[in-house]
Amino acid sequence: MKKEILKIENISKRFTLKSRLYEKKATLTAVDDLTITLYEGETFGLVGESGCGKSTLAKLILRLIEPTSGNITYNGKDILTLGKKDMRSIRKDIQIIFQDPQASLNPRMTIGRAVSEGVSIHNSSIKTKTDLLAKTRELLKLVGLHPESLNMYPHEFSGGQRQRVGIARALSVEPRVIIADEPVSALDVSIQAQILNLLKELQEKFGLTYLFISHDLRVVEYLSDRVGVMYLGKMMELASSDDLYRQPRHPYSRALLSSVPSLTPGQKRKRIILKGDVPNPINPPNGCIFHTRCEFAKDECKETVPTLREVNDGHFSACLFSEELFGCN
Amino acid sequence: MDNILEVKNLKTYFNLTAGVARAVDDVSFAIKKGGSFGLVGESGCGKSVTALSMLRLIQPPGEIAGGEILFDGKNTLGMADEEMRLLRGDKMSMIFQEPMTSLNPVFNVGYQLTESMILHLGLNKKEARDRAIEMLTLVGIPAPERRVDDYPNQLSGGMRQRVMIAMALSCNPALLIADEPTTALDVTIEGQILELINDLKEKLGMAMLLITHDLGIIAENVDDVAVMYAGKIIEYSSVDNVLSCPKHPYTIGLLQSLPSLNSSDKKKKERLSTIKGVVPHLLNLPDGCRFKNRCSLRSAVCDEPPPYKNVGDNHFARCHKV
Repeated sequence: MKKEILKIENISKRFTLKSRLYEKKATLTAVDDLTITLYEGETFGLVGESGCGKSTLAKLILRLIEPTSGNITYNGKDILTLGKKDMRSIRKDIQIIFQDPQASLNPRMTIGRAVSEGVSIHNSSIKTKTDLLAKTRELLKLVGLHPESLNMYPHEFSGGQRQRVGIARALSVEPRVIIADEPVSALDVSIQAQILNLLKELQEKFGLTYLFISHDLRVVEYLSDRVGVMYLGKMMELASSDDLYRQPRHPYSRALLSSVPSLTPGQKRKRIILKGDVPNPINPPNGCIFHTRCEFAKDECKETVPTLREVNDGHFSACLFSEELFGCN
Repeated sequence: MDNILEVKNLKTYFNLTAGVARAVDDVSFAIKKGGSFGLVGESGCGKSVTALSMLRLIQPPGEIAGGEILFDGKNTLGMADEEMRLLRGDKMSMIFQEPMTSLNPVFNVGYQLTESMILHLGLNKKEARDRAIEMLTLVGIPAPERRVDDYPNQLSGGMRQRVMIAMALSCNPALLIADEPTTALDVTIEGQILELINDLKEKLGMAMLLITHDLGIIAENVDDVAVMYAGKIIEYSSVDNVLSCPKHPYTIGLLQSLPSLNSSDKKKKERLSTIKGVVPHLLNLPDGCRFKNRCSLRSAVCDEPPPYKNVGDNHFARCHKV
């Protein structure tokens, strides 16, 4: 039986925007009524274009920003009601890796200090400096860096190596869940593969649960067990990675998947080119938020807001005409 | 003359206090009239410096240390500054990666679009404005009569890139250089922009140099391709040859390190094959083959500079082992 580890229920985040004098205050719904359950040891991939609310969700889980409504439970514990101190111990269990390792490491701190900082705060079994040093060396080795590089500064490393430091830093407090927010997007292909392998290795070793956020569909498929597709703050489709990639059941996911270039030259794929831009989230369309760009949009789509519903075993889609368009099986 | 552009033994060096960085080192390629050519490689391999050299936009401490760039048979490196200025933005124009930083935020779209038309085509303000609106229509911007007065911050990323394309095409160039034109854009917008560039290329009969790090984009948009690594072209052929039967270990490694789409369960369990190590620093290149420290086929012979071998069917690879 799969064990639930992190449960996100009906979470929403609305930002009120600064308004000019005499102007009505505008609200931006960054995350709209999202529900995701993470099971222990799995990788949940979250894909979507920029501005769809992926990173806002990551911040909500860590309570770096507070949600407008909804619940988040970690191991059965409601974390939204926790005080600062209790939340600290939860943050030890849920760690994050950021996209840009250059911006997320302090340039004036040696990587040894950056990695050992969390250990000295959260790990009570490590008391002496020698222990701390040994632990830091061990962590650096774990992520494939030279253990003696701990006196070096971030600028002395390449992008891929800096991302390894970011991973070592996240691992330093022995987390259960790691939120990886576009961890390989800033890296070159040959380095990207190294980091993806490292993430997989660490997951097997420590039984980690990943929430893997990316806009790169190839990478998400490679790493994820289940995948959710977001658009303008909403979940459009959620399914096992196999089902989603083999038979997407939402027009948006289909268009996204068709936009991944094939590597076989000459083989012109049938690319579904979406019209127009992503709508302004301050003023989203009525009805189905995707109807302005959908090739199948009907009158009903302009009025009825579709809910995310199970259209096949474990396969959820937020399209009114999912069965009609993409079959039952 | 069937080549619009020929680059011969181009060398662009940066003279830094720590030494000379050979960012582009003896690079040669040719682009056919109306053809499309791709330069692919990872960051720092010299793709963009090659493009900037073609437009002679290299600033000190960088300099073009040698070679020839023949545009329509004429060596641009020998041209006077004024002559080059007339060519740039007219017959040879460029689209940059980041449309926000390459548009001037304090001038409206119309001003920026008409600037080069007034200079190169000799139009007056009114004519140039009409042509600007026509160009915006061509690149698919809705309500161009209104948009022409917008400032860059009022446009979305995809629209800004369309404006950049309109600007690059406004003087009917014979060669368009597109440096990572879609890297800053979302995938659904990337599709729109590439389709637009290809349509216009066909319609206007211009040639294109497409620079990217994305092998998928190369596969779909160019005829010939050169793979660059640490300042050198390491493989060169038609896109079919390079992607279907790559010869250089670096190209092979790059293709294998991409996760494939719709892979089977078994494949997902496996590790991705990687290229070990990192790209060498340009100031500290290894002797002989520049890829040898990361190469699985390395042997003693790799300490000698590798020959640029013709492996048949107009397919070249710079490796001892092919």
